[in-house]
Amino acid sequence: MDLKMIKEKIEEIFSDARHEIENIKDAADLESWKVKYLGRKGMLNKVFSILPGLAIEAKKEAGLLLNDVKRKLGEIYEANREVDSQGKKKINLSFPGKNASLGRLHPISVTIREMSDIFTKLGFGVATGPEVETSYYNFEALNIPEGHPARDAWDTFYIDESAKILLRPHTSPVQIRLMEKKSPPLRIVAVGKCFRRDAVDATHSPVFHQMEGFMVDHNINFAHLKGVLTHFINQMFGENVKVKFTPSYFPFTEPSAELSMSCIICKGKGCPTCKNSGFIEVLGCGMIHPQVFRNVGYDPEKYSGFAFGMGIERLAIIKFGITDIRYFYQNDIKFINQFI
Amino acid sequence: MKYSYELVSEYIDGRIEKKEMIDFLDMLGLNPVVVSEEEGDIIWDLETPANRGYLLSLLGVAQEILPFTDSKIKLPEDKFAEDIGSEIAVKIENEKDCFYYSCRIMQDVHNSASPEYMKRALRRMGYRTSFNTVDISNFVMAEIGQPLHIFDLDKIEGHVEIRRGRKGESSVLIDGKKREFDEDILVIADEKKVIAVAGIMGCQISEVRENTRNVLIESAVFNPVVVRRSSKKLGLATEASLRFERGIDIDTASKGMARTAYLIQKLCNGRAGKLVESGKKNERKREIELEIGKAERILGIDIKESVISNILTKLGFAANKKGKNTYIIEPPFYRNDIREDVDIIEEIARYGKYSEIPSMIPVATIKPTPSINEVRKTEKIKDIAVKLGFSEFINMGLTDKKNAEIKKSSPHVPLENPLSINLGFLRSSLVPEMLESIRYNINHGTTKIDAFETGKVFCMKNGSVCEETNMLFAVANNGNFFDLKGKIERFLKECGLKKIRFADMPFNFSEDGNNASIYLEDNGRNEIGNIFILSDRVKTTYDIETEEICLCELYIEKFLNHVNFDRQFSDLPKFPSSSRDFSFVFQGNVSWNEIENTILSLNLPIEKISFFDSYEGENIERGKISISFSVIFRYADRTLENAEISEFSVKITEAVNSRLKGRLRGENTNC
Repeated sequence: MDLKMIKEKIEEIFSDARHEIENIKDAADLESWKVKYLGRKGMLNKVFSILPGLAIEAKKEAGLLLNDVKRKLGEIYEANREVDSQGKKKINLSFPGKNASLGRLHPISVTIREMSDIFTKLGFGVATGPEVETSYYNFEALNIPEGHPARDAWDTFYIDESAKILLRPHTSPVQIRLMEKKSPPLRIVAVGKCFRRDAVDATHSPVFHQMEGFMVDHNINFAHLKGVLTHFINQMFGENVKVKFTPSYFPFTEPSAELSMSCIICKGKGCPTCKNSGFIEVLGCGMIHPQVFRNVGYDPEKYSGFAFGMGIERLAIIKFGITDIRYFYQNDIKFINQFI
Repeated sequence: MKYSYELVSEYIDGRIEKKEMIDFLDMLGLNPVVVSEEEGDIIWDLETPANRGYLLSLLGVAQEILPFTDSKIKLPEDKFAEDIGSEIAVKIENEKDCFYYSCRIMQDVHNSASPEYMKRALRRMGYRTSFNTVDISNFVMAEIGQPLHIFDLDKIEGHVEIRRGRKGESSVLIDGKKREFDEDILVIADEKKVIAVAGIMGCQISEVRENTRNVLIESAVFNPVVVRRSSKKLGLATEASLRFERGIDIDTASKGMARTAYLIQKLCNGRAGKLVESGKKNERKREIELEIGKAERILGIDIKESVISNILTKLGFAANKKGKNTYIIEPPFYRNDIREDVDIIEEIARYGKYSEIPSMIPVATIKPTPSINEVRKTEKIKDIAVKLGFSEFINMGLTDKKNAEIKKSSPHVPLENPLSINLGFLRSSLVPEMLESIRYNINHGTTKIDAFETGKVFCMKNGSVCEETNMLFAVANNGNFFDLKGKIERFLKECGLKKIRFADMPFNFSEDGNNASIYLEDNGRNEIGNIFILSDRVKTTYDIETEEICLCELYIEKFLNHVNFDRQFSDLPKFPSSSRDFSFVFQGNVSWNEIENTILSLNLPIEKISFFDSYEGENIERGKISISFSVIFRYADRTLENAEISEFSVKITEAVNSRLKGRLRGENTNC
């Protein structure tokens, strides 16, 4: 054998030994592995035995390589032996397991997923729209004309007021964009970030998320609005939760309503969260205004529909009992880790 | 304004209990909140919707609760004698700004303190009290809903005109502050000067004082949009502007005028001059057709006609039947919220109580609406990130100038009316807020972080705002660059993206040069992201110098249509594989892609090439690097022969040697 062949042989032994040890299951196997490669009559010693026949330089080089491989395999053996001897010993099972971590969605996403699931089961699709909007989609098309005091309800950030470019203060413009593109029947929820000029405190944030939903078909009525939203609240917060609809005003719905649910903290008895009323306001809704239908080219005599909008953070706050809206945007891992 | 039980009851012919009154308002969704109780009366606040301006009056609220009761409305006394012929000329510059203007001179007015009942009423409604004329104008506004203005007649020079302001004009208003006017602001002026801002506030120069003897009462209907514009421009909102913005009608203006003249005559012995009217003479009658069947279809209930007629009559709507199933309905002029049949249907529902409408799951076409593709893909992409162990962060996206300017390649987007300078810009990258969140966590005791965020970033492009969805991955103190790169490679692979290329590229988050741009081969030269070790300079800026931070920002929209979650089963191997390990010494700047491509180009039955080690240092010549990898061989249809594997290994060694000058480690220790 020449030096080249010997070196190839050594590399081959090393490679085989490394692959073989991965399949070893118990201490007996490990010992056989040791005997096979490192034993007195093992593979490496066999190679050692042919070294004396080589030239001095070649002998030296092959010897170095052999010793290196022998050392490495020895280390591998020891590493495996430690693991194995533990397996045989009776260990103290009362010690805690090693800390395991989990990647998680943000509670806002968790809430959105849960809400979307309820609606998708009812045949609603999920959509999104731009955060930078035009005044037309945000106001005019939704029957909130320029100069109408109703606009004060949406304290809006402008990027360019003269060019009518703004940050959407609600997700309702998505409703218009989708109705412009699709014809009835439609069942859609649209989710996303919204912006309002609210200074930050425990209950206000200039950035929040909303879910907008609407259904348009022949003969959709107010009783359907109540049915679908009551189902939603009962799925989200439990079958025992009571739901109340009271009159409200939104320029894009008529009749308009506000949905309140019995306070899940005090079970309707009255507490600071529900201001002792036993009910918490949850969302706004109503029958889509005929003017909105006309604006997107639907015939209001042929189609009717309902729409609703709600704040994601608000629902998450109620559902999880979160005490301060600012937690959502601090991204403290200790906060995020509480939800799944 | 605030409302009280006793004050509202003044306008109701019949008796309603206190609790009932509050309950009725509550049922109508007006959210009454009792603020105080005094002398057996209760005082409350109301949330009045922007379309129901008439609720900003005691009469309006009284009328609103009538359908719940058997009572009738009681209108206030307003009969007075016109004793003198005095009048003043009025000019309206543009009737689109001022639909109707009426005024009346009252002479020999004797001001004194108002009677106790009026002072008490004003206090309960939250108004300051003064002397009669001023108190009367506030009282009538609260009672009827018509804002009035009373001028000192002796300060008016010549005729009165309603016109737009002119540049350079200014005046001190009653609040003592000087305001400048322009074309956007509607004013009341005489021949020489501005005497009031129309619908908002009078000027000090023509203000009524206690010793004023001759006055001019103004009762007008201004264009709501014009008043709103003036109010916004001056930054001045008043009880008057609040009502004008919501819309006033001629009928209400006439009632307000008559009641004011009546009270001034009664309480101040004033002598009434002639009524001067300009603009439209009457409101146009509104007739709305309501088909009962439509109301039933929209509400989902059966409706009794007697119920409808009771509600409408009590609200002051005239309802005449036309045919079997249809009404022609004429709402009172002040109900400018009633424009079409659905508005009347809402009234029917409000008084019929929403609770009496059943809850029903719709019987609809079963055809569901599918979710849009981008949403489905984005949600699934987020799931992959979570499965890889990353936790999701959500940041506001409103940020400060320093953060917005961090991406120098494109102009950032400022807000015109920010809340504060710290939240005055739209973010141009997800990186700055992520670094702030990382810092927040480190300061609060969490040092190892694997996080991602999906969100919009913004820039200006050709004068308009461009909005794109990005995804940012961050690893802080939880592994090195290759830990992150491995996860990103896995992430992109799971997204169904096959040919990914990383290329060194300088980048402003990593001046130290440790940045690679990520390309998708099928996607031309489009960069789909960046992966980098955060530079020391940026770390210092964000006060996280000592942390080990690697980031990868992906431009989702650049590759979303290549994302593919369709999977095709491929049969599991039936024949065993064989593997060989190689260690080569290369020039230090060798690229892994070259090594891999060289071996793959040999067209051997290679299943996989896995890198497992690189080494520089002792036993390796300076400037060189040792790279170790295994190659797994497999034939799909037969077992590999040992001789074949040796032959493949030789081919690999030769190719690496000849093309990349890589030498098998140990082959020649001198190299």
